[in-house]
Amino acid sequence: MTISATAPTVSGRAQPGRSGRQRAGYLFVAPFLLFFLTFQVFALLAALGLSFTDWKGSSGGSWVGLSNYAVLFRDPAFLTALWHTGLLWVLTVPILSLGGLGCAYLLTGPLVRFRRTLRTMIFLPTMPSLVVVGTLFLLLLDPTLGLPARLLDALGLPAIDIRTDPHVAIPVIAVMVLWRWFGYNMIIHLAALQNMSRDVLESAELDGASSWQTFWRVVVPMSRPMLLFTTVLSTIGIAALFDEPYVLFGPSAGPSQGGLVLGTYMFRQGFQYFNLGYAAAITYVLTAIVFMFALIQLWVSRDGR
Amino acid sequence: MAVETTTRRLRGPTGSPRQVPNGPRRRLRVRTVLAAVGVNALLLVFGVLAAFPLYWAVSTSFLPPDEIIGGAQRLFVHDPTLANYEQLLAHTRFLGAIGNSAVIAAVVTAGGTVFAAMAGYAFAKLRFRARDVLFLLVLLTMMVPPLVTVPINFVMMSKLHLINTLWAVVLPQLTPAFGIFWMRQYARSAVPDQVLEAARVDGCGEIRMFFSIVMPILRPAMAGLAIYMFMASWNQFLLPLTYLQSNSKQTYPVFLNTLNSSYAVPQTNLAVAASVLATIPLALIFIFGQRHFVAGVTTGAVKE
Repeated sequence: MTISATAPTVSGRAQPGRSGRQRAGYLFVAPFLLFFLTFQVFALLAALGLSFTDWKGSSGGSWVGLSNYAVLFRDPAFLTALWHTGLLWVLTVPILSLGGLGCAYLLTGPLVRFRRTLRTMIFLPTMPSLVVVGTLFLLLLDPTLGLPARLLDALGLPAIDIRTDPHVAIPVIAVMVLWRWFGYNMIIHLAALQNMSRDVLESAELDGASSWQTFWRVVVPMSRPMLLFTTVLSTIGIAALFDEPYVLFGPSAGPSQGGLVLGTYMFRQGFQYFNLGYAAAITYVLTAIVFMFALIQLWVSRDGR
Repeated sequence: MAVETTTRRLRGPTGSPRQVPNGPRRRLRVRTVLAAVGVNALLLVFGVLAAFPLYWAVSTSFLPPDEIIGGAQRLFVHDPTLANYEQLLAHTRFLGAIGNSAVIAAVVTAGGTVFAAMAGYAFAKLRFRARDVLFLLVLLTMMVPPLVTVPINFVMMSKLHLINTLWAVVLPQLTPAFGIFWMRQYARSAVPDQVLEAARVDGCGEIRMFFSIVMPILRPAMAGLAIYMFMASWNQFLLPLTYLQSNSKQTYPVFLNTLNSSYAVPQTNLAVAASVLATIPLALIFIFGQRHFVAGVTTGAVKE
């Protein structure tokens, strides 16, 4: 068929066709939008409103203005949880992002044997659910029967007892997070490294740069967008951390609240004491911190360019 | 995956790393060997550290119960038994909990994937007035920690009388902002405009066009997203813990947690067996769809 034959029909139908496409656009977005607007967008706004009330369980509440926030910043348990969450960030996120990239870079090296097997092994912990991961660590960390305890005992060191020692709680949670998410971050970086221009890496190596130099001077700067992505992703994950500490320590958060994080504290306030207004305030402070953090990270990565 | 091919190109013509032609060759050779051993050993340590706890769980689940609770732990199982599994399946609510998890995961995965495909396609290829504003909203909510909506959705679900029904856990999960983002990226690069225009010229309706032309093109992305959604909903812990209070509505992560915490002595032998069984669906996906699995869990990350 010739173009000239169809052209008039197209232009003739252009108007209804375009509005049909408008309608089709809304139609295709509608199912997602229904749930998205209700349980995300509206919920986010309503949660802000909720944080200004003293809402208690299902009995409702009244407007209290900023008093939840005022109480929050003098609440020692909240400050402890905030401190622990920050500590966990320091212990995990740099290793997840930069370490994940380093591991991906090692894995693409020319000298590596059994590449696929190694990649699969490192990626395996992404598979089980977090509650299963918690169960695994409870099994491994048994202070008398667990393998780490027996190894430490053989070396003459005291066993790690998460049930009595408050100081080990955060490091243990950090190890769990690292174990579960390291391979995940590595795979993201690996995929990105494969899309990266090979010429740059090759020319760096031809210039006689060592792998160590190539990594810091070429791979890291080139991976900046991915590093930003994994850092933001891990930051959100750490801020909203709940499953791992809850499975290990329950709502009481372990001895002397050693394993208390913001997620646990939100759960305790919202779903044990049913202070839903207060719980909403906790999550909003959390969101504010994450947003600030993301902005700083965005700014830092822009600045360096 | 493409690791093999791309790294092969990095090697020198002989397959060994490039060397300075005339310089101190021997020293370089020694250094190369040391580097090779070092890198491989390091990666092997990472690999073993990653895989070991899983091996430990699987092997422990075949130990006799009294050896798990009271006995010393060991590297190898000498006389494996199915006692833990028999007890778990016969005397606990495990199967019911798995059933609830399966229903939730099925509805969330199917609904979420199809909704995301439709919306992602619309955001990529159709023009409508609110498009850019809506997509900006989607991007913004991706940055919000998921904890934020938990208290307020509890209030909303109570008003809707949905607390203690599986809907309370399903509905909030039907909003995969990440999936929309990913589908839009994919549809933008994979769905050719000419094909759509040609179909429109032939008088094909927008809805029929989506199902007969667009969806087949989007299938690889949908497979990845479906895996991502399945994992997220199958493993979801906080929502069922807070929104489903009766025992008959428990999902498997909540049930598993009660095995660890609700008894004077943790039911470790049952918890380990339950962990292994609950991971089987994920292991099957991992084995038979590793490509899609990787794409699924890194959803949104790879395409810039």
